[in-house]
Amino acid sequence: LLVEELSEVHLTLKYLIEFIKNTNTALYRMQNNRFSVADLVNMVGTGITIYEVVEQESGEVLHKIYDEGTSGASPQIITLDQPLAAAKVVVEGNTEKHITDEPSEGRFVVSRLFKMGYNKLWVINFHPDSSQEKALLLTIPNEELNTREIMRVIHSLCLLMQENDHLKKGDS
Amino acid sequence: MPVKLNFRSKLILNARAQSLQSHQDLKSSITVRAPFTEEKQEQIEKNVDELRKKHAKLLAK
Repeated sequence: LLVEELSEVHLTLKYLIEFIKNTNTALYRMQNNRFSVADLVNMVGTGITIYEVVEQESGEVLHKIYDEGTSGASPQIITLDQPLAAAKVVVEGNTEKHITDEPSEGRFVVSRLFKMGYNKLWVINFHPDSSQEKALLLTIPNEELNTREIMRVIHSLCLLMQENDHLKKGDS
Repeated sequence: MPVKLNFRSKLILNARAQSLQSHQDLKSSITVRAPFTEEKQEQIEKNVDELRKKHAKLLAK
């Protein structure tokens, strides 16, 4: 039993070191104006979609603004009455809580709400499947890792990405 | 003898358990809201009754 536990700690450390290594790469890429959501995908080892909460006459809806490393089948617009983790996490309005869903066997969606710059709200969805051990460890809180600091790193990089994109739009 | 699970299987079970919990939470929130909806419906029916009575009185004059 002890050997098994040691093996799990060993694997957790291995994936955390990979995460730190890929985060360093992402930071260097940011310095060289080459950073994108693909770097976040590389860090957590699974596909990511990002939605922005947009106010419309009919109420709040989610607009997809980034989709990287997935099949691309996620809807462009999600209304808050839809039975999807991304909608539920906005309705609950808690940035500390995540919602996990398994829309088809072995395919998971983990949704988190993030407060962004310029009074925006983003929902970041991680799409791990049952073959992606590293992503299951890093994106869904578990016995080995509560994932809080992983999400803080993702959040801070997204804040920088949003700021960079905003500055680029301002320049054009 | 219990079946030994490897690391990945444990993580999958954890993900699945959290997914089921999210569905349970959603069901609970719907159940909690149900009495509120019934109360609202009763109030609407009362209001309609009162309006009917007022309307009948006006017609009787």
